[in-house]
Amino acid sequence: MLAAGLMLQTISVHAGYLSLQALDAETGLPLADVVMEVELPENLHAQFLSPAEREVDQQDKEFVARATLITRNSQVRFPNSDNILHHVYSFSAAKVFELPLYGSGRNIDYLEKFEVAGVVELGCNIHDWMLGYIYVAETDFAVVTGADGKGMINNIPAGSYRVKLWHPRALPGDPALEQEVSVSDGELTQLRIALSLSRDHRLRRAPGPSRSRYR
Amino acid sequence: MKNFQHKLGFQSFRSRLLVFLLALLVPVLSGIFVFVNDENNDYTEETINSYLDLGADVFDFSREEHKNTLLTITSTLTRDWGFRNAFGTGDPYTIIDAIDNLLMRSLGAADMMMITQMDGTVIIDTATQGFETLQGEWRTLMDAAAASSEGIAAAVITVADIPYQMTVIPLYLPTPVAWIFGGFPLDDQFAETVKQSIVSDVSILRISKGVVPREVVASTLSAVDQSMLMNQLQLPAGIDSSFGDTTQRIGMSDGDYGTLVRQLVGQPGDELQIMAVIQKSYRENEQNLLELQRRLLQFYLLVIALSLGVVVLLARSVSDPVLKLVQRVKLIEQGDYDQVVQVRGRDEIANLASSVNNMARGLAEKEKVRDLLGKVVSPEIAEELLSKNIELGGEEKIITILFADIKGFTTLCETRQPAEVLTLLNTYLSRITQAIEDHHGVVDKFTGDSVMALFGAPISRTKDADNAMHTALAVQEAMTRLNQINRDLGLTGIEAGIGVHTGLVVAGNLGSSKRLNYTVIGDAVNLAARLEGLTRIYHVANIVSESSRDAAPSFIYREIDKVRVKGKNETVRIFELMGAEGDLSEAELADIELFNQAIGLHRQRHWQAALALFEELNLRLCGSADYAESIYGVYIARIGQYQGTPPASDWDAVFTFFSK
Repeated sequence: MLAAGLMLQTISVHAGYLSLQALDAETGLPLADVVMEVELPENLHAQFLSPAEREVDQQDKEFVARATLITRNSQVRFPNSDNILHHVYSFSAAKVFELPLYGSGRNIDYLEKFEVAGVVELGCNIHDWMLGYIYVAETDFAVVTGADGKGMINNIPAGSYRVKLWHPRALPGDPALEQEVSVSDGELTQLRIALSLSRDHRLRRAPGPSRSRYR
Repeated sequence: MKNFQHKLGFQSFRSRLLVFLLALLVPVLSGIFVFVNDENNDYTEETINSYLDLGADVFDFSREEHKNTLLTITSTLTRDWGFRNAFGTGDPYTIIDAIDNLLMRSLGAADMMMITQMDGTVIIDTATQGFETLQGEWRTLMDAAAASSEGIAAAVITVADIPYQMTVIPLYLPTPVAWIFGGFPLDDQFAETVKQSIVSDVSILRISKGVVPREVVASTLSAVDQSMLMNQLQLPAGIDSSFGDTTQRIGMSDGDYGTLVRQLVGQPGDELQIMAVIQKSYRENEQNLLELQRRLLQFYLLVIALSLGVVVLLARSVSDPVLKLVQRVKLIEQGDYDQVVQVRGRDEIANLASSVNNMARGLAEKEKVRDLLGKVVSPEIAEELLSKNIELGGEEKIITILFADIKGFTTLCETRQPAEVLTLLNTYLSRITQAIEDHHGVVDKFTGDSVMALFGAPISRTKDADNAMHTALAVQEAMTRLNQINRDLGLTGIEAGIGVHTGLVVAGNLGSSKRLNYTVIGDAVNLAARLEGLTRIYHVANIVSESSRDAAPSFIYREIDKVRVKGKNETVRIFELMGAEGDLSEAELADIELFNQAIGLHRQRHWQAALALFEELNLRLCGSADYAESIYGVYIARIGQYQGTPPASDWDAVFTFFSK
């Protein structure tokens, strides 16, 4: 969003707006953690790429936030707010890395750079249920929905685009995940999309005693 | 022989008691035996069934535990960082080594593993089955896991011809990226392991329709028993919900086995079926049952033996006194009343013995009375008196009465000592009495030197009159014999006078209620006595009335006279009994004929002619013309009177006596 704000000043004359309202197709409720990315022609990628530094925290043995949106070449910090050790890893194609066991206050200054666009699934080798996502977008024209299921991309050069949608539990091949939109100069294009979700294959948290004993 | 019969009787009584006891005991004991047997059979069935149910449940549990162990192992091992790293490399050789490592780490709990992509594309298969994507039951298993909330599923799948218990679990990196299949074989070792916990034999059976109808793929049984099981096991053709609970009894090489089937793969009728067969031998329970039966039979034998012993003792306690009583009664029957039978106790037999003793005493007394009575009265009267209630009063009946009197006895008395006279008299009377009793007569009484005898009382016979005639003849003969003997002693002139009459009398007990006689009374008695008295007048041995002669027609008589005795108006024809038919000689018969002619002439008043005949008869009798003391002399004298004083014209030839 910050990056989008910067771009707004430069190309505001020939730009439009794209908003998303994501819903759970089953319940009709707003759906968070939906990433919408506008596919730009490759020659424009460099022009609209604003790498940044981000942070994925680990609190109460969960990744916060669950789904984090970054642009390519951004760097991410993985602090540990818990008083136990974590072992962050990813075997995803977009980024294979691991941060072997480290405790609170460690790795605060360490930044992992994500150079390939794609979805990076974060796990913890100590806590199998911990699952986080880093969506590495190609350009700045991407947004992730909040709890209200809403997201907005500003200053998109007017034109017709393919828009990709992603959600951790979205069904592969769901046609709703690819949309064609036209962005007109100074206009707001609204997308309202209901996604069918797959079963949540997350592992369950370990039961209480271990938590109460070591927290 | 008698002893033997006694023993036989005793045996028979004992036998009856024994038969009764056995008839009572055997059905009861048999009933108990059958009941206990049935109950035990039921119990055995129940025990085997519960063993099998338990065994099947433990089998299921055991398989479930194995499954869970497998899942635990695969789940734990696949989350191993090293394995994750190895899988993360995407290098197949590294992954295979990592899996082999995993299998080793499972210490045999897992035997094979397979890793596929989430879409079923095979990445690694330790069993190298050769397919690239999951198919058939493998894909079914994967779909089942995908559909489950835990991402877990299990099934029995044949790998390299061996049924494997397979489980599947996702590999999380950290999201599910692959399916990890793990399995262990349901082989002999597995069967053996389960057998250790359920103490029952376990076999794994497979049916592949069109390939192998029925095969045992794993078993704790011997090869022989395996084929026996395959041949005998009944399987339903279609789905049968009760089949899993139905115990089959299958004969194996060492006895019957209770058999329960658990379907592992497929349903009855499916193309492929794999089932676990759990079997428990009846042998142990049947041995227990046999032992119980043996003990029961021993107990029965003891009970029966004890009962028989008691019965024998009981029988002896009854039969011994009974035998004593029987012997006692036999002695009593033979007239020995003096033995006393001793039976101890207060039971019925003791009472009976006491009664027998009392009876013997009573009989002894009665016998004494009978003896005495027989001497005082005639045996028949004694019998009559003893056999009936003695009542006063009597009955009217026609009998024949015989009086026998010893003539000339009075003269004898004058010259002899009284004791001598009595002895002599008793001798004569004894003979007379003997003659009477020999011919069924009854001595009614002795009156001085005379005897009164009855024929037809108290007991009527068909030939009472004949018996009286025989008696008269016998008395006469006895007198003749006695006289012959006595003549040597210088005794002569003792003769018997006999009167016989047949007529109506009243017979019965006469006297008071305390003292009474059985006797007869009536005119007939008096007439018989009169007739006896007339023998002195007519000088004949006997006089028989016309009614007696008519009653005994088979004898030879001669008519002596027609008389009217004192106190009687009617005339009586009197006869002398001469003898039985055929006893008399020609000469005697001729004399009788001549006498009859003489009587006839006398009645027709042909005095002279009659006299001539009587004299002729007298001459034949005496051998001289002297008038002997005989019937002829009587008539010769009477004719002499009539010749001097002829009787009136209305003379009816009846001689009237005015004295007794």
